[in-house]
Amino acid sequence: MLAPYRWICDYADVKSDARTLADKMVMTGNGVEEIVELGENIRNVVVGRIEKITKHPDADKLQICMIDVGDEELLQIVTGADNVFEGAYIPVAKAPSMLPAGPIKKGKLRGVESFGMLCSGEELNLKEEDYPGAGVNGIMILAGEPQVGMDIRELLNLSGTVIDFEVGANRPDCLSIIGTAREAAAADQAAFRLPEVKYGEHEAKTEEMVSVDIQAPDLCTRYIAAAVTDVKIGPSPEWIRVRLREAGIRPINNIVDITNFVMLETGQPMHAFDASKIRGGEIIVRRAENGEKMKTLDDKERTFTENMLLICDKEGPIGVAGVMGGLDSEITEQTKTVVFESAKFMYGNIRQTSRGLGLATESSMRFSKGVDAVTTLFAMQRALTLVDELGAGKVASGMVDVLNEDLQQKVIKVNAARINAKLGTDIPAKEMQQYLNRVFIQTGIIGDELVCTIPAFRGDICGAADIAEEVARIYGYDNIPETDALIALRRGRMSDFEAKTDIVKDYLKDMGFLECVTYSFTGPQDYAKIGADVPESVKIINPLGDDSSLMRTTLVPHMLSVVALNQNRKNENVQLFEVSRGYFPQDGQPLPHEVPMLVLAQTGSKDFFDMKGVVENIMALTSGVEIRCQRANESWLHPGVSADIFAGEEKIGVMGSVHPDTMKVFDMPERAVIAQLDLEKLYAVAKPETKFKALPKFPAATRDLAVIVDADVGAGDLMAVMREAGGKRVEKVELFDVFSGEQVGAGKKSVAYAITMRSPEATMRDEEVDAVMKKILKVLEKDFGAQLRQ
Amino acid sequence: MECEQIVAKAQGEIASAQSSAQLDGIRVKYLGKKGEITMLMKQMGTLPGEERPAFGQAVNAARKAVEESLARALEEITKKESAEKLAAERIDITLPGKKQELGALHPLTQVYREVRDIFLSMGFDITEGPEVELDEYNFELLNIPKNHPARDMQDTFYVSEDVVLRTHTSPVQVRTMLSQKPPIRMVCPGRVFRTDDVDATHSPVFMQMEGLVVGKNIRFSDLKGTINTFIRNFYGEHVKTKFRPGFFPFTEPSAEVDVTCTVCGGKGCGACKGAGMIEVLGCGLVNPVVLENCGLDSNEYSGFAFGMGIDRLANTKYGITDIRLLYENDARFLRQFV
Repeated sequence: MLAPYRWICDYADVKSDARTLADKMVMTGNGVEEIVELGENIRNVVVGRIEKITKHPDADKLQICMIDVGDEELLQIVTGADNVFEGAYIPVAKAPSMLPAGPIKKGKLRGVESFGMLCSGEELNLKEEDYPGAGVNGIMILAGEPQVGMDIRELLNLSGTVIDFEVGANRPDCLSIIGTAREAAAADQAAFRLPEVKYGEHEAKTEEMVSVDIQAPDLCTRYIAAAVTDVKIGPSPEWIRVRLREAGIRPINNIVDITNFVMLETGQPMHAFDASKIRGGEIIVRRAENGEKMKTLDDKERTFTENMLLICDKEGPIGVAGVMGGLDSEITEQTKTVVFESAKFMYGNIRQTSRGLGLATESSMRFSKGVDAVTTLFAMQRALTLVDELGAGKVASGMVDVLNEDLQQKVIKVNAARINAKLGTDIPAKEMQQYLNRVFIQTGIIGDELVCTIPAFRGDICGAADIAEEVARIYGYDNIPETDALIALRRGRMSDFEAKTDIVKDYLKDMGFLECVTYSFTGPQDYAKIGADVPESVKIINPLGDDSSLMRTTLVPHMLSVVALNQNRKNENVQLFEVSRGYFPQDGQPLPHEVPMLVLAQTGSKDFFDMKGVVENIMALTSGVEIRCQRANESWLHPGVSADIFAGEEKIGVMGSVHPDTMKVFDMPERAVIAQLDLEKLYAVAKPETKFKALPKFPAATRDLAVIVDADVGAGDLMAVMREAGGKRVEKVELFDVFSGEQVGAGKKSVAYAITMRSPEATMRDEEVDAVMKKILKVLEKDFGAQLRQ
Repeated sequence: MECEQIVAKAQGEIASAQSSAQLDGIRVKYLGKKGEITMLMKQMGTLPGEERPAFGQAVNAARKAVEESLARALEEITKKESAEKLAAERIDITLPGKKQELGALHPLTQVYREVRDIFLSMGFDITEGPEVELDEYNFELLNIPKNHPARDMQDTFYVSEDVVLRTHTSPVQVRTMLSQKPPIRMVCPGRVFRTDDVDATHSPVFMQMEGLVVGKNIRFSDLKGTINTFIRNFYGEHVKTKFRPGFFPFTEPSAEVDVTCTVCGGKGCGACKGAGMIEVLGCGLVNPVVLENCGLDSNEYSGFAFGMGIDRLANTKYGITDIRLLYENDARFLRQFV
């Protein structure tokens, strides 16, 4: 909300300057976006009077002007404009000076010195509507006989300070200068007064010109119409134009300017209809019919749905309630009679309509946040006052006012002790009363109870908590003490999930991995890139783009993109991981199942087994469960170098080398190993509590065993079988050699293991050791067709 | 006398020996089984009886003299040889150490853990909740009905009429109040989503941490004490805070908290737009409407809530000016946070 400081001062006797006021208002809850100094980009531009014009000796289109700028000597300036004349008053940029488009220095034009520039309206950022005469093609000729040498900003009212306030959704009343001035008065302890309402009514009667029928009283609780006859469309006086311009709105003509001025002043959006365009003289406020159409003021055809509120006449829509008027009932140069509208529409409905049409206006923005029915009337009275004051037309007598709302002011009673208990303060009731009165909540005291009458414009105040906030913000948040009643008697707790994830992340960090964070969104393209169908997914209705229209079910595509980015930037030997959620829709449930997942990537010299080692260690750290690998069938992984990872019977993840085709799709210049684990399943088994086991008292016996098996038998699978077959005496099975070649025969390989055995009771005798080895060999022979290698 | 000559000769050789091996040779030459002094002793049998004692003494004295000389020389030479060996083993200690390259946790994780630890020490439990959330929990129970103007404060991704991507972690507070009796003291971290296009200061996904305390007689002054304790722990004792009135539909009274700018220390700079303070946190007393919505009697209980962006804390802590770096995952960026 742009609030010109001068305009605030019209209603509040503020003593602080603009910046001090802004600081004070911030501390009472009026956030300030920025403070703008207008006219700062215009410097050393003054009023000049052209005393003499001579032709340039060497250029037909140039003239030399001698100008009185209030200095001892006349200023010589060469101009190319042909609308200048001796005796004209014009804006002169004296070199060196500054204009919005850039600096002006002295120079020579075709050999004749020029000590500045004569300015057009455009060069001062002015249009004809801002200042009559500014739109002329050529130098701006100033009206009257202004003082020569006067700063042009002063003459044309181009300077001033504007405070841009952040207005909270709870304070729609502050989307107005009056609301802002009330806050300014409260912050600066200044007197406040409302602008005057005073106008004469003429014999024509509004009710004879227009009637109002509210057919949707749930969406429109007050509608006031007032007519003005004998309208003379023309420019507004300068003071109105300056106020509007400072507040960021372009002046148009007196009637439109009045509606805009009143909206800015009171926060109540107004509309003006050309009365002759209201067919049948009746205004009907009703819901649209589905598919109903109308052209709005911006010359666009709009199609409405049944929940949108329209302003109609006997034959059809003439405006979209609270959003924008219709093109056909617009005020034109020919308008003779105007009907002003000041109404209260329900905020939720206007918000919906504005969003539905994709049309946001100053009006819809205010209605969407809420207006109050008391201001609805005040705004109309202000508009008519301005019509009268500006001589823009004759105010007809009476208004048509349809009211469907109780205007009784709310009264809230609060115990002062309760407010102090909420705030942790000790403010006397009397003092609270003063603070509340300062923010226009008329407050009496009965006993220890504050009796607060809430003005209509403070619809946000509903209960004791709100009153406490009003007291607190005027008392000053700084003055509320700081207490430490919340001494912790115990340390807070975090979930097992988080504790385990900490362990995993710390381990990976220590192993040299870098943690990544990527967005949770994905799109059909990502699945196509890994050669997968789009799974059933959580879909976003209003995504930022098609590529971010789904919630992801896998972290892999993003990780591959990150790998590619790093490889292409020559970041070598990078190891990466991310912990994030996948989102899986659940039948019959409104919310998806969110699964925490871990994705890992290793580039450079690392291979499948480096990754497998990392995964095995993660298991050891979190659950103590050993993993088992089965060949995977993932389109994005190398078919021979990839595995599904199982913990018991549960598949907990997948890992492998990225498929060469996938590398191409992701533009990965080098290979990488990836693993993705479901942390929910991975953590499902709790890690057993550590219990001490006595160190072995007796020595171990170690025997080697070499067997020949089919080449596709998993050497790792054999190990698990050997451990099981050997029984409890087997302490450790280690693989130390694998080879294939002529010696072992085609389609075969030789694998050799060292088997360590131990008994807790005694040193194992040779016969015992041999028996264990025999059992192991027998199972290998039976299950895998293994042959002992001699 | 022969003995004296041998000793002199032996000592001469000892003096010119260069290594322990040479000394050993000398020892063998004079004192070995067939050494010259040993041989002298063997001559004793050929001498007349009365000469023998004197001769014996003389030879023994000679042996002792040579032995002592050898021992002294050996000690010196050993020392010298040891010194030479150590000198030969001298290394260039400025060569780099051999190591496993360190990894790094993401700056958001590091800042989150720091914040988490402070709140854990203050007795706050860590609670998580779903990221795809019911509109009811994300908005309605938090005093933001459908089409309420406050909805414009948070541009929302919708999954359906009733399901949204959570715009803040406040729904976790709602879930906690609905399922747990006071006293409640919790913080809820996690990803949140807003329909912001990506630029240097906006990201459609970011990380938030909110907190909630509900109990009996919880006051605004307790909120101030808690927040100030947190900020002093996180930013340091020297940092000043400023509580300004603010607006959130779920708290009343509400406050925004500024802290001394971490870049300029309060003098005013580009990062703080000259204000010397930066906004880091929003908070307030839980709106009684929210307590009632969550089934708590607002006459019996009161509480406060607060929320902050972990991204923002990270940016202010590390001086990161472009939020996109946090989500790009360039190893050269990530390695800076080892």
